[in-house]
Amino acid sequence: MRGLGWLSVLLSVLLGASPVAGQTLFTWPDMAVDVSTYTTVEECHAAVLRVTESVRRNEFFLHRVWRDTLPHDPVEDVKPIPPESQEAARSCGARFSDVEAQPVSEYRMLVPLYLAAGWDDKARALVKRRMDAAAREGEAALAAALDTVVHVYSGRTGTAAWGLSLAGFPGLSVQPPRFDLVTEVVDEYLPRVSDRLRRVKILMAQVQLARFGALLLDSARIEWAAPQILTLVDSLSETEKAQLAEELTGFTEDKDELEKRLYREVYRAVESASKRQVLLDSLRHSTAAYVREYRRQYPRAVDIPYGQPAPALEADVWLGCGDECVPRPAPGRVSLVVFFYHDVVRERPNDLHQCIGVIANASGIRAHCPRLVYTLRRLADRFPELDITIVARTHGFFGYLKEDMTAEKEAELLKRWLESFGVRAVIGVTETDYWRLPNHDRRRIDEPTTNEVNYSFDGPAGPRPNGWSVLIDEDGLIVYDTVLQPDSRSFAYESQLIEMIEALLERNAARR
Amino acid sequence: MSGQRKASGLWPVSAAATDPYRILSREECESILERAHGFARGGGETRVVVTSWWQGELRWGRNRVSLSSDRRDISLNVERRVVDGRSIGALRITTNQLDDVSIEAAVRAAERKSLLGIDPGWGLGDYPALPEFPPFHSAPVWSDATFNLTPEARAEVARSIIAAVEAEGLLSAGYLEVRGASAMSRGTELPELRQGELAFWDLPYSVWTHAQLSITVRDSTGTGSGWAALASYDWNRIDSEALTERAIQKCVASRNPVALEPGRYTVILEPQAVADLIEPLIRSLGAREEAERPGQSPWYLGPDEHLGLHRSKLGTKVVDSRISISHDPSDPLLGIVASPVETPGPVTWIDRGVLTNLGYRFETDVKWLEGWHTLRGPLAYRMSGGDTTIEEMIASTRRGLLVTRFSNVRRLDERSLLCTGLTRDGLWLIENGQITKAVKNFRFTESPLFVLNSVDQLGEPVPVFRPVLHPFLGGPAPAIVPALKARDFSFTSLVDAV
Repeated sequence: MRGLGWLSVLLSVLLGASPVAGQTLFTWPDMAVDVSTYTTVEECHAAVLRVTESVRRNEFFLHRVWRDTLPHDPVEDVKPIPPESQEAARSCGARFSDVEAQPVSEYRMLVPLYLAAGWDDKARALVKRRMDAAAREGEAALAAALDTVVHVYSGRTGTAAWGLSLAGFPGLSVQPPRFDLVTEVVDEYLPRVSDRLRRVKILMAQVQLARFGALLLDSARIEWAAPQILTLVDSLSETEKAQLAEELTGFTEDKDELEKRLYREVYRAVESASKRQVLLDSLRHSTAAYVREYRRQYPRAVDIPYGQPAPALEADVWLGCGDECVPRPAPGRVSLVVFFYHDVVRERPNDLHQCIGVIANASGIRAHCPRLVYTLRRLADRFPELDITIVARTHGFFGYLKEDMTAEKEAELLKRWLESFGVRAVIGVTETDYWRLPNHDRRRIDEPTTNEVNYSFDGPAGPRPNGWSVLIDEDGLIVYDTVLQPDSRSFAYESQLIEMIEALLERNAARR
Repeated sequence: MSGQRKASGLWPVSAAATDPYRILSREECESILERAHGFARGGGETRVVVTSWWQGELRWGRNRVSLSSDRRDISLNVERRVVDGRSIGALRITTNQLDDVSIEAAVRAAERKSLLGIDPGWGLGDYPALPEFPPFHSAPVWSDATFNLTPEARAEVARSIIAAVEAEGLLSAGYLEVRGASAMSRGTELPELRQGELAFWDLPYSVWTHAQLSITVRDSTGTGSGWAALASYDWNRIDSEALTERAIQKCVASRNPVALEPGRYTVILEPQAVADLIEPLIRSLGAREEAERPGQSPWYLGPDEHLGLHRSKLGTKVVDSRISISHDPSDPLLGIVASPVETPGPVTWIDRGVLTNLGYRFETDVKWLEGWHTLRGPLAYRMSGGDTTIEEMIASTRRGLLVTRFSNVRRLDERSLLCTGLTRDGLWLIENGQITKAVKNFRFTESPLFVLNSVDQLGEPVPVFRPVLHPFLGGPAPAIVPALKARDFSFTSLVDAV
């Protein structure tokens, strides 16, 4: 002990010299999972999930980046799990590695674990045992087992990376989805299923797999499955259709439910595989061709103003355009007109569309309309030749500021606010006519602005959705409209707008 | 604390409030806040709330004291609401240990806890700087008499009440409570947007006291019951002898009640009964936003299809035109503890029967209305009255009931404010202008809105018993209410309890 005396002296000197050294520094706790104590396959699932979560958290501490602060990238959904998670699956799953010794009834939990460990052969062998056993039980059992296997291989069971439990099954989801294994099992066993309802459901899972969120992963699979689905559905009796609708959606009395579901999941997939490209090709040729093709593809969309001249924008205050503010949209340029409202009070904490608002308390104050503003910034950065005009109107306040507010002041505050997020665009602000409800109500009632009236086309004149954007070609014809937001898991909002802008800019460049 | 806050004198504090053994003084609060913020390591934004409270109680039953307490505590809450620009929920660490080691441990714990759940954050951009805390002028809510009512003095009060009751051969139960509290909060959120040291959601140093006394007197056979009570920030305003005498009188007069058929009766509601009955109505006045969308608010009128919005009943007549409900925070009897960004002046909620105001949030005022304040629902209020005495009301009643108070009032229907509850501690039948007999208690099923539309006569408004709403930190919530006489009050069943 005497030999260590110098150590305590040194420590006391060091600690005394630095007050910080005496404090308890926070470090992220060691989240490593000791899988040696885990004995069941469910515990192994939990271990892998925990390691994955830990890796994601450490990512924040290493890089200061949270995935959920970035726009959703569908590619994330099809990336392999982190190596640390695979290692956890291997070490925990070692006790289950003898696939022949495992009861076939455990296949649904074992298959995701094997795939997480990278043991695809073991998963394949266990699935084959299960399918063969199901085939011996009868066609119904075979169809049910095939349905489950397709869902498992497609990553549509278990707990996804974003923490949701899918399809009611706990545990790991298969990530990335195993296209090859799905094809293999479907090719082998689907021909043995004669039940047409079962076949439709399994084929629809194929379409879902091919169109993973906003990503088009496998157009060949859609082209293979979609016609079969439509043929099978056409062959069903009304009773069978009703039954299929119920099985797909739960109890429903809506006779059109099946058609709606097919539209969402099959027609849209086919469209994304082929129609979309035709539409873009036509736009590259001319707006007139595009409008013709659009009306052919969507005959019911009669109120869409595509192909109509974009109304000229009016404003009382123009900023960011020097002496060339009107006419606008600027002739000869591809334009994006964005209707933006800075009075939207953010009431729901997770509604990231709502902008600026009023800071009413000290919580939740930093999450203000990132979807809209950051999407706008990405577009402005990506397409410097795109002429972006933000159409705004006065509300009588900005943030909490109300006193002595003028249209000029409101416009300037809005411009500064947008520029602080890197958004540089022309801003046109119209002074709003308003009146107040009489008596004790006193609420401010805004009249529609000229721009809102002109851009409402045949719809009701009034505020547009916040971030509603109209894409206009170089001849001033309306081509597309959407609410500005990043891609979601269900729809490629931003990607589709980008495709349209690229097509128009290509066309415009070729003309010059 | 900024010089401006000190100079404004908004929060009068007597010398007694600096008693270090009961509630924290302004200087102590400031010192604790500064120490706590000094331990914050950065990388996040920290809010610290320091509160201290003291409570003295004395409870008795069957003429014997069963509880005498004198308690106090301090609470230091450390919250981290934003970490590296990202919002988190209000993750709070609480301690009542105020040495440096404990405060630092609380700050560290808050920092550690805050890292466990972070929402996306995107920055504020070039947002206009936020306003300073606007002045709020309220009547004082601090009383040395309350703060100095020692356990011995409280015992003496109880002794004199019990002696008076025993002299009548009766039994009493009661509760005497005095409180004092102080609170102050300061955060570091949004330093880039602050114009002054205090953001408008920070609570400046605030102190208040509160006293309440309630007495129930029963006869030994258990057939008669009388009750009297009062609450105020100032103990000097509570006359224990008068309350005792009133409770005894009511007990004696309510002996041997007879059963009446339930049904609709003309009622004379004493001020306390009126306050008990309209409490749900008072509370419903606080949410204008609820009243302007389809839902359960009693003040929702319906959609205005022409304007494309929903209308509330603001501006419409909702109760008898003799009734106004208002609050002037500078009224010495109606002082309250202010909350941040609160509308500083008097508010009239119902003006001669017309609904004129509903409470609203800060955002509502900025976006829809003409100011930038919060309007809380009526924490304290005065209900207008008339000049009819209860004796005159009785004299003018052919057949009716005199109600002392209600208990267990619960809402049955939000839209109509239909409520149910029980009469308690004295119910009498009036026949031909005279009280003729005590009556067994009833359950009522009635809406305060219906009652306030069926008023015959109104008495002079007087302070009533309205205890604090929060167990430790609630400030005073006084009410001044008249007696009233109303037609067709619905009693729906008999109740055996006295």
